[in-house]
Amino acid sequence: MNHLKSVILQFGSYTQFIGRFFRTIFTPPHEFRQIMRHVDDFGAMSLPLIAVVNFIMGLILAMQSRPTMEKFGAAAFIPAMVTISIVRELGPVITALLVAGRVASGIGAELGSMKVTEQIDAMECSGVDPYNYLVTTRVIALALLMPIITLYAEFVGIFGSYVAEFLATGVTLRYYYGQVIESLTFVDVVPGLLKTIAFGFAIAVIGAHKGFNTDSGTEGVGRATTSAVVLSSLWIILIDMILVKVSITYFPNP
Amino acid sequence: MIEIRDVYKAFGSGLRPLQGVSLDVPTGTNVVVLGKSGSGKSVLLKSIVGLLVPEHGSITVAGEEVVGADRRTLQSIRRKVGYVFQSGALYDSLTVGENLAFPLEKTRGITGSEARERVMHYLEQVGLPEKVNKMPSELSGGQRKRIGVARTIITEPEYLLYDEPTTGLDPQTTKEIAELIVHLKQDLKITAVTVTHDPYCLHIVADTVAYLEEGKILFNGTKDEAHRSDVEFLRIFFSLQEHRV
Repeated sequence: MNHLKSVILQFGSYTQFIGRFFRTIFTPPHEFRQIMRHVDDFGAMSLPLIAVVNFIMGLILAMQSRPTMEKFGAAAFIPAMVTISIVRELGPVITALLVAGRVASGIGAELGSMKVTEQIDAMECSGVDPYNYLVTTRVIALALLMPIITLYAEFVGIFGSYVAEFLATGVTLRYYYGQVIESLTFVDVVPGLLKTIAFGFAIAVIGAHKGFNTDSGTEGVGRATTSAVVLSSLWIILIDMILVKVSITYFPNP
Repeated sequence: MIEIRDVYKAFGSGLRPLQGVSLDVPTGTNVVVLGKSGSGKSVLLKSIVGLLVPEHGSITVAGEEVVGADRRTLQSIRRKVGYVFQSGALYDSLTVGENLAFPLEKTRGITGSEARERVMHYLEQVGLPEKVNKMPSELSGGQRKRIGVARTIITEPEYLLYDEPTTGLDPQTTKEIAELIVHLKQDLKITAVTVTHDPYCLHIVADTVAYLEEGKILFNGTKDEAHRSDVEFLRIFFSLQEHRV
């Protein structure tokens, strides 16, 4: 019973928190400089990790596919198969999960420590809306950044698959990328990128909500950080499940 | 003037720190609020500035009602009231200079050379102009409190709320901060409420003393009256002061 009550209270708290975002987004002051600063921070925080993981993922995907595809005489389809896997699903989801690990924890820890050291109260007292300055800017920054990071991740992933194919067959980069481009359609790329906006929104909202509602000192900051990562990872999968169904309905495969 | 009337505040945990608090803070005075740890002194300060919302009662600052005020009214009140936090509450990610410039830029629209001049002026007021480019993590506890005071007074508030301004500091820094509070009151004509556990700070800064216990103001009077009071906490407090001062 207590658990159910806590779930309902959490749901109410998130609804209020998100409602506040949509109220402040249209109300001045608009902190453009702060948004750009966060875009810069979040990008710098996640890009190296995303590059390494996606490169290796593309490499492994191509290496794992080759024996089976060869068995069916379909090795020529490896670039198309790997590309569609990466662009439609693996690129957006893996990137979002990595960003959740890096950025949700960062937002949770930063806002959490600001909360317990009364910095958020100090901002409120000085007449600045801390929600607008600290939360809205981060949510906008991450929602804007996610499609860009994902595009980069997909490019690196496909390059990883090329390296695997080059080592196996000596295929040229020009030929491989020709195959890749030929296999892609609007329906493969755009829905995958659009859903990353929802992922970015969820990651930043959850991280910020956890940080903003931190209590119990440094122990609370630790809890906020961990639960921000766990909850945002879970929501990425749930949102992905819903949006895949939506995209299949509205953008059926050609 | 700050007028507090019959204020009640409770928390979900069952804690009821304020149970009918009434207190007047006349313009130009510094009222020191005493009380045991956890007696609701900080809750009272946070209620004055609207960080906590009482369930019942009235708090007016310069005639404007805080309890139940909308965001616009609260912002107008907060332009008049400065809050000095116990830890300084400096923004970790900004330098000292940026910390001071932050409220100037965001709430007064003052930027550029005018902001820089004001930042240096108020850093000089608290005796730390050389720290302008330091990060808060590079400062000592006392320096952080002084920078916290500078950041609060840079917007020239009419009222200041000090939350334990000298707690945990060495005697020399305690003296400096207490003297700074007196100096601000005299030179800038600031009305203040100071929460403290420090007998020396009270001795230096208080015009009147209020004692909070079990959610109510049990004593409110001058320092001399507090000294002669038969409230046990005040007797112990002033006997400690005699030993220390």
